[in-house]
Amino acid sequence: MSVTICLSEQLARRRLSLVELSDRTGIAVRHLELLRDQKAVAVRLRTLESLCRALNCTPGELLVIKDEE
Amino acid sequence: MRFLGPRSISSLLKTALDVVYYGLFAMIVAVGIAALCLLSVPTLAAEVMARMKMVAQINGTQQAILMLAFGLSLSGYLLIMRWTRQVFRTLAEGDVFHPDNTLRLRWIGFGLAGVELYSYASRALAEAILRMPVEPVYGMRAVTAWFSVLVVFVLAEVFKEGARLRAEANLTI
Repeated sequence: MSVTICLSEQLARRRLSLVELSDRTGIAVRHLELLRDQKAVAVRLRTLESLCRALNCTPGELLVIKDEE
Repeated sequence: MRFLGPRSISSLLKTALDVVYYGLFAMIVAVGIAALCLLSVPTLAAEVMARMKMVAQINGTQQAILMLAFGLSLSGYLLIMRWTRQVFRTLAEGDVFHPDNTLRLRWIGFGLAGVELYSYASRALAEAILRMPVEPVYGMRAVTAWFSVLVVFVLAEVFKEGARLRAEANLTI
């Protein structure tokens, strides 16, 4: 099992781009790309909080556990 | 006083290592030329020694072999210096946990072990073949050499862990 961050889905649902999310959160677009592409190995609580506030969602909606094949 | 980065102690040490590296390189070239001269003119050593009113215990060919063996040992030190310079270059740039430093430190460890083993082998051969009296290596001298090899390997692992943590920090958002 692995924890994945559903940033693409959340962005699509709110019709937001990475640049707009970057403007709202103050997180660099390069870092958001790492999160979107599942390349990040860890997420700070501060980052998670600003993402949740910007996307108006809960951490549970942003992070999901997927079964590895 | 800064220890890492530009204009620091590591930068000063890197310059010192550069001097030692090129000095060693010049020494190896000089020893190689001297050995070749002795091999091509075997009486050269005896003539030079006679002029200096000294007596040689071994003949010219044996002296050339000893010089070549010495040159080979210096080449080992040259390689160790090369890797050490590369490590210190990253330290002088402030890039301490550079991913390549782990491998460089491991090579330094292997190099130090190789030079030590080579010194044992060359001493044994000099004693057996050339009948030269060689002072045995014992006590702290022998222990220090192998401890320094182990310390370098431990440092290599420390740098590996540092590089891993740095990579992880880069991927922490």
